[in-house]
Amino acid sequence: MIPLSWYLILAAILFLLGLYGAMVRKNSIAILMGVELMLNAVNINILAFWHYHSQVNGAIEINGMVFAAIVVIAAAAEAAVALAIIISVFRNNKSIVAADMNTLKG
Amino acid sequence: MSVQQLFFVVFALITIFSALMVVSLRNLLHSALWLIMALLGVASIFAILEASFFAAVQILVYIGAIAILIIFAVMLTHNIMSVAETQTNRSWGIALVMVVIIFFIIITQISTWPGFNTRLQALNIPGQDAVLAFGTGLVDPQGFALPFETASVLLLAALLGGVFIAFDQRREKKS
Repeated sequence: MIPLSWYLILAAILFLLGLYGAMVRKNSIAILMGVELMLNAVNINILAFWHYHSQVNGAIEINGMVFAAIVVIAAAAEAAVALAIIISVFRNNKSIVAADMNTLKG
Repeated sequence: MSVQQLFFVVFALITIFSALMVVSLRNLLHSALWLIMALLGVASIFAILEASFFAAVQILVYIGAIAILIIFAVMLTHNIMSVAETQTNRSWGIALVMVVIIFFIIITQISTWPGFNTRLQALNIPGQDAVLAFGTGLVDPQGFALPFETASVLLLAALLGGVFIAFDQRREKKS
């Protein structure tokens, strides 16, 4: 019988670790890894609340599961497009450091 | 502490340690491998939450597809950043302080909610009822058929966009 708070605290720690990675890293692939960690933390939160809501209502809620599925789909699309952009930038600039990607800067 | 709580604590510690390794290691391939470990820890947390479908999806989609894609990208851009040079930018100190402050703000805010310490009981879902209800809800026109179809269009657009962006147009013209 695990308290709901444990899941919320775990999700908060995981989210903030991902946020730290996304803010601090130079390499754009490492930034993407931080984003993946953040998305996973959100999914833990969504499914913990899904369990809580199903338990309170006494019936299976599907809204929370659909939310979690949409998050997974968005994460897959985001990873595919982001890695394609990284490969393209690498081919043109020979660098994937996020600070060097300033071609669009005015 | 019951057996379930012990399992939760062990998997949570594995997940947090792996996530710490992902954001702190210098060698990007090693942090990609630790990312797989962190995703596996999250999958076991889903299993403890009785969301067995999402534990399977987590392993299939995240570890089977996204992590492999990230490892491919790391290997394709391998010798760009040497391991010796520092992998973080100058503002890592202030980022660390900000993250700790945000953590305490989140915890103090959500602990005021009365349901914060609710104990999650076993749901006692018979058989595959949860997955069946989920699948029926996704194709039900009164339910989530529209978001489901939109998600498939989103995936198709991401597929085409990924191919188009990564396509080498200059080399194609030369040959």
